[in-house]
Amino acid sequence: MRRLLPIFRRNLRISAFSRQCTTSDDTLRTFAPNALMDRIVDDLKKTGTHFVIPGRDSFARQESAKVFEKLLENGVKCEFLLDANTKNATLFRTIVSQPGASLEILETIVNVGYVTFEDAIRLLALFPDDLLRHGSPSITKNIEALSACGISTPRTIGSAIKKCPPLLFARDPQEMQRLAHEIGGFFSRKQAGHLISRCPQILLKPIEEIEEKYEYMFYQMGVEADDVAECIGWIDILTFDEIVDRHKFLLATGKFATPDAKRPQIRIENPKLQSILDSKEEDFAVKVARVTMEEWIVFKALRVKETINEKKERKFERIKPSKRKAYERRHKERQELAEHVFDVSHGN
Amino acid sequence: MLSASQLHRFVQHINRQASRNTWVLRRVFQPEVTPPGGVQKNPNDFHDYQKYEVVEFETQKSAGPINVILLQDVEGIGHQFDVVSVDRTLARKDLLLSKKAVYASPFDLKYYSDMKTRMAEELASRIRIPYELKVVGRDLQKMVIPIKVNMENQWTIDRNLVKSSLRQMGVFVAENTIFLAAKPISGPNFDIEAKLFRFYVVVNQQYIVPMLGRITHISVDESKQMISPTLTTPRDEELARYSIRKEFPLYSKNNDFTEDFPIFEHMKEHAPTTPH
Repeated sequence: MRRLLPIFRRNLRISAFSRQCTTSDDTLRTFAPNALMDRIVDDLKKTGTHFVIPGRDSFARQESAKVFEKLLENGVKCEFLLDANTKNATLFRTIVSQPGASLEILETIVNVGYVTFEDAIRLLALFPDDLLRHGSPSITKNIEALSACGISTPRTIGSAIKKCPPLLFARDPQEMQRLAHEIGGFFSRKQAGHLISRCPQILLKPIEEIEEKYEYMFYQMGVEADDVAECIGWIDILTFDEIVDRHKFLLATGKFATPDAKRPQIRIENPKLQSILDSKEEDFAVKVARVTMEEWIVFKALRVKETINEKKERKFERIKPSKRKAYERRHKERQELAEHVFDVSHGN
Repeated sequence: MLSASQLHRFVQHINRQASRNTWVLRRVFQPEVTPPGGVQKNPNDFHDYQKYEVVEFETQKSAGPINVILLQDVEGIGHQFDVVSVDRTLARKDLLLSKKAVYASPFDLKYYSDMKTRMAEELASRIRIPYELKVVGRDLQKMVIPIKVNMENQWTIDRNLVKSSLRQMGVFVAENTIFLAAKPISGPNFDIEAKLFRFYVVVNQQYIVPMLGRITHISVDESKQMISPTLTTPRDEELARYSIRKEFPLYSKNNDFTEDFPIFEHMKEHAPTTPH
């Protein structure tokens, strides 16, 4: 009696499990694509977008349904497709109106760009016109250019594409490679690769802008390449004028001094470049410069007026660190005697 | 073995052959005219009289077109045994190298003129499609005409509708030159959205051009929009899916294809399946 009961229970469980598998498989394979499209159209109608798609038996409908079927086969969930298309009507319009090209682009981004299908769908929702106009061969070339620029592992390629999707279409691959080569003049190969992987937007910048910012940090702030490579705020977030404002503000508050080779303590006591450039404005004013936010705002306004009055040919002087003392001495001597100063001995 | 002087002369000869040119020069400073009865001075006695400036040189001028005799029918240029004047580069790079033409030398002119006389009957019996009709047929065949039909109201595709759709694509034809299938297409029916169908356009009552139409539902209501796969050049499998055979234009020397001619029945039997 005891032996018979466990066997009976096991049989029941196995049959129940197999039924569940069969039911779910049938639902996915036979009804999901067309039913999914109908469901999306109904949901979009509720939100105010009224789409009419071809009939269920038409060839045009089959082409569009094929895209959804392939996405489901590749592991994308029904709920995700429903949610993505419902919240973004442009995505649904793109898939239905250009099914072949859309599927090709999605597969290219997944196979060559090492991102998931969900992320590829999100990219297609954000940039449908650019991706379709560019086409999958150009996207492949752009991703291969990323490998040549120093982003070589699949995870870093996928991460770079997610951080900066315009890398896929915004610039010519050869220009990106040329820029990566020119960055090699400022940083070592390892530093450049590390910098590009953390901030791939640098590949879309003009080299003149990057050169100007780097030269200011090197010549005026006295920061070395190691420190510049560690922070990324100077590349995309801050403009050149903002970098200058932050530097001059720290000089005015006394929290930053130009490093001197003979006095290494200054470099140690200076705040790190990462905290200067990568922090938000409030954190910069309160924690780095140790003043209130209002003072920082007033200083920026004064700097705007000061910049307008300046009539310099070049934005800043490029003084080598070894010539810094001589430059400062000449700069001090060049000061003119103010009108209100009566004592002549100060001029000497 | 060649001697040094002979080799030198040979090299000079080759160089002269390769860079030969004809120049026309003019003195910068003209010497004075010798007065009557006076002795003429040697112009080279003065340094300024030895200065020259270039008026023109041979390679500056284009050689112009060249006359050739066509040995076969060349599209866009002429028929067999015609003497045509073509661009020199085209003749040198294409026609002469591929033996489609020969130079119009006196011997060739006489030789091929005699041959043309002997083959006069054969040439006259050959069917040649005018080049203008070919170009028109090609341009029309490349198009897929979106036939715009209403999403709500009843409609049937007729000649007037096809004519309007052709006009939207920049093709202006008379209504009686459009031939549709016997079986009418009616709607609205979303199952036939983006469906391709065949119709024919007759040019000059001589040239039947098979064309493709694509049913596109539209709505006056801006909020209601039909989305379907966009227009592309249909592949062979797409044509087969809609039971459309791949056809090419048909030409008749006489003006046979009148308004009453049974175009669809005729094309079922005689439509070319390869381009000419």
